[in-house]
Amino acid sequence: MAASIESLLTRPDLWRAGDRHATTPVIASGHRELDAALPGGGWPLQALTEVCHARPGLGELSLMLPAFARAMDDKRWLLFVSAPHLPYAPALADAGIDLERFAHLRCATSEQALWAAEQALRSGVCGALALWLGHAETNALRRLQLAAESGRSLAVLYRPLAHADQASPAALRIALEGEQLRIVKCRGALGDVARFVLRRTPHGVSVHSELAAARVVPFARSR
Amino acid sequence: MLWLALQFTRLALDTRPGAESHSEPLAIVEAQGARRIVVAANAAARAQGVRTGQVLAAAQALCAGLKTELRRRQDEDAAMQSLALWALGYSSLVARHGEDMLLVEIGASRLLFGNERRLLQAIALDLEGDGYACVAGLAATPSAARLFAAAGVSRIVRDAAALREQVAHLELVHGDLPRETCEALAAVGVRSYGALLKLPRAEVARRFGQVVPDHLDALLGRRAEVVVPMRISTRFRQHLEWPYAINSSTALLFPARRLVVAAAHWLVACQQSALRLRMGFAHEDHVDTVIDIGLGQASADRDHLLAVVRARLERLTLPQGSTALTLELSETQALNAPSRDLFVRHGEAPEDATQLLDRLQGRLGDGAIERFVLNADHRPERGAVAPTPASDAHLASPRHRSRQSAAPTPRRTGHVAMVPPQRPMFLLPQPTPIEQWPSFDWRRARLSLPERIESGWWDDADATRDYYRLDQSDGARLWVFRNRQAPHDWFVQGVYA
Repeated sequence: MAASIESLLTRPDLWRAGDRHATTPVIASGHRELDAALPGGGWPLQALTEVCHARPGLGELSLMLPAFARAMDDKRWLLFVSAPHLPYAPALADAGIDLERFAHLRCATSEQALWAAEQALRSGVCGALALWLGHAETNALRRLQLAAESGRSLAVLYRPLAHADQASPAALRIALEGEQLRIVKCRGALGDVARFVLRRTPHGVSVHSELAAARVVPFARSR
Repeated sequence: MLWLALQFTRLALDTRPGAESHSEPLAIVEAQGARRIVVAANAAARAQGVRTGQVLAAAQALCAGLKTELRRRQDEDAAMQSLALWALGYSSLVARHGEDMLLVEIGASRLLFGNERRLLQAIALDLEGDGYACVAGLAATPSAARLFAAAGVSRIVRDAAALREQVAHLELVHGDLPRETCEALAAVGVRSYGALLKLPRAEVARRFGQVVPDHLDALLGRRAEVVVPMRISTRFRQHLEWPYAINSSTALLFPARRLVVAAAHWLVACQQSALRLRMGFAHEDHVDTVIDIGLGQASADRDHLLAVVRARLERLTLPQGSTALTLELSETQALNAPSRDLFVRHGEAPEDATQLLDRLQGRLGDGAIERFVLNADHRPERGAVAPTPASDAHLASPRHRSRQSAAPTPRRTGHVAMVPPQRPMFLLPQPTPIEQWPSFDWRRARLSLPERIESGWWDDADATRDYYRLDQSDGARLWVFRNRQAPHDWFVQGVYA
């Protein structure tokens, strides 16, 4: 009996909730309090990260940009696949993205988007990839997760919040609602907090744990 | 020297993609005098007893539904040319012999592959993949290699003594001797090389001509034989026809693959790399469909070319079935030999970004890949432009790129860098009236202080706008503006994602 449990524990697809060490390499998110909570101390590489957001404009992309910029070290690329609007290059450049290694792929259908994302992830060219999808079959997501495992990339999938309750093979899932950031699922143990608050800064967003955020005035004075 | 002779036994059939495995019996016939003779038959026809060399009437008697097609020698010639180009990938010395035979000197290439066996396996694998039936002969002299191939014996024979032994039981008719000489020798009971070699040399020469001892000398390596190496054309353009109209892109892959492979061999043999391919699909009652495939970076890599063509074919819709395909390399440039990592074996190297983007563009269509460079203009919709070919790192050659990065990049020269950094991640190229924005409500919105952008009075797109960051109570932040001339009309132009 004990032997069979031992053998179960060595399986790569089985992760323990008490384990603070990530099963995959991670990349620092650039947000200190968030890193402290995430297993391994950052966004997982070689795995799919799913961001479910209630509506566009919550800072869902700014949240990821520090990690995207870092993932482009070592001459690797950043690809956006079927973004809902035109990515605005000056803002990306301001966030440290090298535009020479950035491209946006327009896709007519979600099948094309999935295909392109899968090809890009498998190629090993991309340091990071962001994909926007509406509804997607679990099978398609699983393929994406497998493709993400094959390359050492930060793979981020943006979906509407309505899908947050559905099962998903993504290794890390977070939900953005209003200013609230909630970690829905992760491989391994979460830190003390699973709920955070996003604050706008002149250069993007900063993430604070909900307890600390309670002491801050709700609306920062705008310039 | 070690010579490999490849005799293509079913060339008339193999030049027609899909004919060999087609379910309908098919025979390729050729007029010889008044009669029509079967020169090749596909598997379905052979199963019903149709054989090469049969008179057509006999073949039709054996097989009722036999479909016949006339032999097209120019196709076979083109196929042989393509095969010769392919063989140049294995050796620098390739010669065509007769209509259906190739001579390849592989002695020098052995070391590259380790040993003959591995080299031959690679060759056999290629031919199998391309669907060519072939018999190979391998010997120290070209004549002997040809003899083995014609007789259907595959052996590796190196020294002369062993060669003498090996050819002994082979028949004279398979060799290079003129037919009348063979007949004359057969008339005195000499049919095999063994019998011929036993006869005294001088007497044989006197009675049957000097051609016989000369042939034997060449065969056994006692006399050097002249082999004229093949020449390559300076432009690649190949044409392939097939008997059935094909419409599905997966089926079109087979002929396309064959042409692309030939093109890749040509590129390697000519030390060139392709920049642009043109594929023309011929239809029976329609103008040809011509597609142009541009490559981001010149490439001579067969797998890359295949991947690009495959991706393009997948989204190709033809007006009707196609019966022929022409592939032309419309633009090539001298090959810059790829400097691969010494310790990375071929095929393991990670894919290049250019290759990936080419492949994605092939499938997603032109214009599907958007790339940006900064533009020094205060108007947000002009803050980024598509890179021009000259400034595009993706299109520029690596050398060009490094020169360019040494020069100041545009974003440092313009005044864009001085613009306040709070810009949205997403931009709407066409500003949307705020009333049309989904679930927008003024009562739950907060505006920042305005930022005036006034620019473009010198061109048609004059803009005098006050921009605000607009926070909604649900956390979403938009970038909105109103024109100074019409302060009550608000527009959304950006999303702070």
